[in-house]
Amino acid sequence: MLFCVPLGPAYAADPLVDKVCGLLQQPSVVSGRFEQTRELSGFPKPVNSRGRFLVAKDRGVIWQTEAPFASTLRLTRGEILQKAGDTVTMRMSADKEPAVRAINGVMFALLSGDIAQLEQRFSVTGKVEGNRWALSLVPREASLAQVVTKIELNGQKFVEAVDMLDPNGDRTRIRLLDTVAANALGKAEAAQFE
Amino acid sequence: MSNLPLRPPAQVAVSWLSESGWRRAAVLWLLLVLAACAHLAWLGVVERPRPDSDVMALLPQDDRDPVAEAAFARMAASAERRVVVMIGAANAAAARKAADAYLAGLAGVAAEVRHRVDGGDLAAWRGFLAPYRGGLLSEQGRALLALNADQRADHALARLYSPASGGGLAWREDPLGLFADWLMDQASGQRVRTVDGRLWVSAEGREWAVVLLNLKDGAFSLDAQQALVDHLDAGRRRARAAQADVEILTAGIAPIAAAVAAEARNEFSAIGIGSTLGVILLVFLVFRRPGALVLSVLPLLVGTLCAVSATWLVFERVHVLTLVFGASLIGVGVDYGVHFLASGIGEQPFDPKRRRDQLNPGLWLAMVTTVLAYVALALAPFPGLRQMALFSGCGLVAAWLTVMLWFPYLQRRATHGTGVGEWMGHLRAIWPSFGRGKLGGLMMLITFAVLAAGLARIEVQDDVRALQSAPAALLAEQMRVATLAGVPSPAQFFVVQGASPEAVLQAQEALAPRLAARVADGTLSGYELLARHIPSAARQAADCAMLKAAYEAPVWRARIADTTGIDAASLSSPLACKPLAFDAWLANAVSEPFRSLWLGRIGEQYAGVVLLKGVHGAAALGRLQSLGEGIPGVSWVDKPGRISSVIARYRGLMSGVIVLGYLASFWLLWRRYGRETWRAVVPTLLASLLAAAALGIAGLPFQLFAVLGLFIVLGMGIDYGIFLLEHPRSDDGKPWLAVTLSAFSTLLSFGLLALSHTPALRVFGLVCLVGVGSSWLLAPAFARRGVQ
Repeated sequence: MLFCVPLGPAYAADPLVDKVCGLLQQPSVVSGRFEQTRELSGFPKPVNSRGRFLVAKDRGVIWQTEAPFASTLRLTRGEILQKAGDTVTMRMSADKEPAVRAINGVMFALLSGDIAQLEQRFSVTGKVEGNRWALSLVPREASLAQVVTKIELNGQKFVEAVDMLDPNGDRTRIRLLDTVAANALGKAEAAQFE
Repeated sequence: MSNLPLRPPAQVAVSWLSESGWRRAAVLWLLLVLAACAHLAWLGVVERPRPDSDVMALLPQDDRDPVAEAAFARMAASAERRVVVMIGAANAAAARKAADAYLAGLAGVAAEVRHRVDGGDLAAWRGFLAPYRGGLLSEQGRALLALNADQRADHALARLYSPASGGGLAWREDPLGLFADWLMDQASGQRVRTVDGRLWVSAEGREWAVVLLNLKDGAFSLDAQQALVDHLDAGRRRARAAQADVEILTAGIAPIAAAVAAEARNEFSAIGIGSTLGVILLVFLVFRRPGALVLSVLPLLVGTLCAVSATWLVFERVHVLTLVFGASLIGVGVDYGVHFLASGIGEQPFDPKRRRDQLNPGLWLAMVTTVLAYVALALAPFPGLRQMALFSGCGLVAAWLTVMLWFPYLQRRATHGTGVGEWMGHLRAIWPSFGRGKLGGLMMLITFAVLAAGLARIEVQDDVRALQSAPAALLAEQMRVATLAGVPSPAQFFVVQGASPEAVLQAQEALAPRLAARVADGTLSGYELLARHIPSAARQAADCAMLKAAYEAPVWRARIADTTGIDAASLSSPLACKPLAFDAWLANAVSEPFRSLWLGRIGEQYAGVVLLKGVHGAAALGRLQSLGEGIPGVSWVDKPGRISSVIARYRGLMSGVIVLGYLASFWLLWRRYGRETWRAVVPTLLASLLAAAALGIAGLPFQLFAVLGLFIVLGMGIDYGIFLLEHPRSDDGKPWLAVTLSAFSTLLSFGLLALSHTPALRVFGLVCLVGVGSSWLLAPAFARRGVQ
């Protein structure tokens, strides 16, 4: 229950969060496949992609799109790095841009199911039926609401689906599949963070 | 009764005026003093002026570059009102809690308090800027456009599939994310960010909430200072109560000014009270008559009163340092009265009017040489020095007039000597001669040893920052906030001027790459200029053209269309390439955080400032000052550096004036004393050198205020010589008693200044202490021996 230690006294007593935390498994490393559908304003049809994801506590997130276009997004404590193939097309350092930490924190929490962390930034509503849970997140702060209007996520032992709505109407649906847990990064996995 | 021998007067007494003339002069003087009293009463009851405590107010107006001066004045005015508070804790939640408690403590403070940024503002700013995005490119964006079309398409497509690319515009409005880059770049280099809507800094492993205060009153209003300090203390207490491990840093001119003013006030009363009590005790020990006590204090009172009145008549504002300096005047103002009274000890027959005529030439000469030394101070164009010169010159003349005009009528009974007085006076007869006998030899040995040890170690210091007395702890806190929050220096910056705002922006754009190179080599940590937030129209047009060309590239179009199915031609159509006009930007709320960088119209020119962060040391300043060379309209402003150079100039100039002072004194004395004149001048000269040597030994710098001290030593030392020359017989103890009383009262007042926390006053005090002290020791050692 690593991630369910209440961080702020103001939100600690929410029974819903406690329940969801009880259902979620939260090991050090989670990895699996994803399928993503983005509905973008001005686009005739949704933009689909799929690939692999890797979430490691204390390291960050690797979001590796395989199709239709090979690119990697790496979120670590210190930076956001985007690669198209082997070319770095964007590098944003947290030293220069502190918002990087907030973005990475939210992405990490979403994919790993760190509900307590999310509750710091979002007001959380939802329901629990058996082993299945569904939550709806609305940003507490106006600055975050600039980036995301609403997030819905659901799952059982792991987060299984994330649905994000942008203020400009774009919608991103992510399904996380074949999720496996591990206590430590494998050698190849660890290399991806280097 | 006195055992001092009674002698006929040394000089034949010639009265300046008829007795009725003296009487009329006394009445006239009384009327003037009453007028000064009325003026003071009016000041005290109606005007209630407050003395300045800003050290900068003591410095000359440097008016050679009006735009640079206006820029500095503008910067100083806004910096003066700003207070930055940082509330730090181990984690964000704790810092938030402490900050909320702190803000509760600030309730009711006379300032605009800011600690949050409303998200609505951000949306409005974005909405305002978005139509102009084609011309708003960050350095990173420009680098992206420099890539080939294939690489650009890679980047755009990677963004398309990235789940974390939200926050900018919709993808098809800005596929490369250039506008998001631009927005982000607006804040880059800013250490204070918006986190959860709050102004925030993450640094040194701590989380800091930032609270900005913009004071309604300036930093130097004493009432406002006190109210502010009370509020800040209340905030600090509440934050500590809410969060025990909170760290609170405060930076701003007002809290420092409050501390300096409080110290100046304490010193003013401590030095004033201390020297007054010391002088009273001394006079009482010698004369043991309440009447004599009242009389000896009277010239001092009248002198101070007239000095304050005259200073406030001539200058609209009077500086606290002028008043501290005025407290020193006490020692000098009491001299003439003490000399008058000491000369009358055991006088037979008791005739103060005759005594006035006897003492008149010596006292006149003594007063004139001293006042001359002070008036010479006013040669320097430092308002503070002029105030001090006027204050002390008026005080001395008034004290002298009081003695000459009033004492003959006020002293009703003869003064009787006391044992202490006799003993003091008797010392003159047994005083060693310089270089003769055991004691005289020892005196010479010590004198030359001190000179040899000290003069070589003298270090000249003209840095204006070394004259300031702000508490070191507060300054260190200031520096930490400047580093943590990235506050630019208000003292050194570039001013960029041009015939139009566009010309200013273009010049800034030419300067920016040079600054970036200095950031890269570590000379500075960052800079702020307007052109980063509102590029020149020329730069916007060029950037937008470059962007349009990038969107037209066939490879780009093909790849976007293949992957997304949308027509890539439609991407460039919303780009109107209409530049964002400077005036429109300035009028919109979006420019609010950057408006302080714009000075507007000054005379025929428009001007903006370029602020620098993290500049440390003279070497860094040296590398920066020539950075604008070759770019029209760019000038470097380094106010402290400039003032320091002015101080250096005047220290040199005034050292020359001292030499002139010695020559003038020599000439004035020569006319009366002829070949004996050296007996008054040489000991004073030696005393001045000893005072300078003492600075070297004490490790204090020789600076402008040391030169001021030497002026005092010149004025007083020559006086002692005059008193002794007027009464050349070494067994005549009365003039020596007067000199001793005067010297000790002077040492009491000036000696206390050596305890001041203001470096300038400490140096001044030490010079006076050693200089006047050794004048007193050396004057009789150079006096003529014998009783003829």
